[in-house]
Amino acid sequence: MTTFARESLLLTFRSLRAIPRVPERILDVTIQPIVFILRFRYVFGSAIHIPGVANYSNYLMPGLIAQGLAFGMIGTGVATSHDMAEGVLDRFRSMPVSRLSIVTGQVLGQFTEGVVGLAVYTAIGLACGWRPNFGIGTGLEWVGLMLLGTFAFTWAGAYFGMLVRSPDAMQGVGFIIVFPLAFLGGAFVPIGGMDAIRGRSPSGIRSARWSRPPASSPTACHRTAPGCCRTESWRW
Amino acid sequence: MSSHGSWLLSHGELAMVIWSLLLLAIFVALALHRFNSTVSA
Repeated sequence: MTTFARESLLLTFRSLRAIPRVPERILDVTIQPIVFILRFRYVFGSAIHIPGVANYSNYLMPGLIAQGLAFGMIGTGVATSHDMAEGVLDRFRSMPVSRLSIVTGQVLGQFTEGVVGLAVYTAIGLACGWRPNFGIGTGLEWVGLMLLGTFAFTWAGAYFGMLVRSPDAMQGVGFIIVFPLAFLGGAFVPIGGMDAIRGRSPSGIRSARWSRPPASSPTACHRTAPGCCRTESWRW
Repeated sequence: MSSHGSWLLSHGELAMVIWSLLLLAIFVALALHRFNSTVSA
């Protein structure tokens, strides 16, 4: 094993060892998925009817999971910002480890937490009636896409965590970035039916073009984990 | 409604791979640059 890999793994385990001492740190990947699923499935879901979709869970869950991997950015940003503010990363710099492994260890620790979050989303979704119609190939494709997306958003979170001055600010910045992306990306309802997309927005906002990049994650989730959902995220 | 003719939306899986790799390319570079400049200060 190379020195870089050994140092990165060491710092990854250091990040994960902090969880038993501060268990509330992983509320965003344990309790938050439950709250989101219950809220959108049983509160808002009862008022949402998507043509061609008999069971809203089969549309909702892939979208929620796509949103969940983007939300991992916030947890990563908060943890990174906290370590920067506390001088933890500065202390690592005085150790005989490469700078790259310090950042990589931080990201891999948060990525591991993100994977736990995806597992929680999947488990709670299945318990709440989500029935994905996976084949082995499609299932592996779905898992690969989710891991890749989580990894990408984790790096984004690490950068924003270094950019902001406090963990509190990261919370605000993260929600400002992720929430609009999740809604415009068609995570909860197909974007084709949105007034903003159809040009009926009171403010005249035509967000169709802007919705396309963030829509790729929910769209990929909806296509690879279709369940009985024949309506994809951009159609209505 | 159609997919607005968007290649990104009609090829969701590939678009997500490209989108994720693009995010990685941008934010890995930015994060490492930011970390180096922060700890050097």
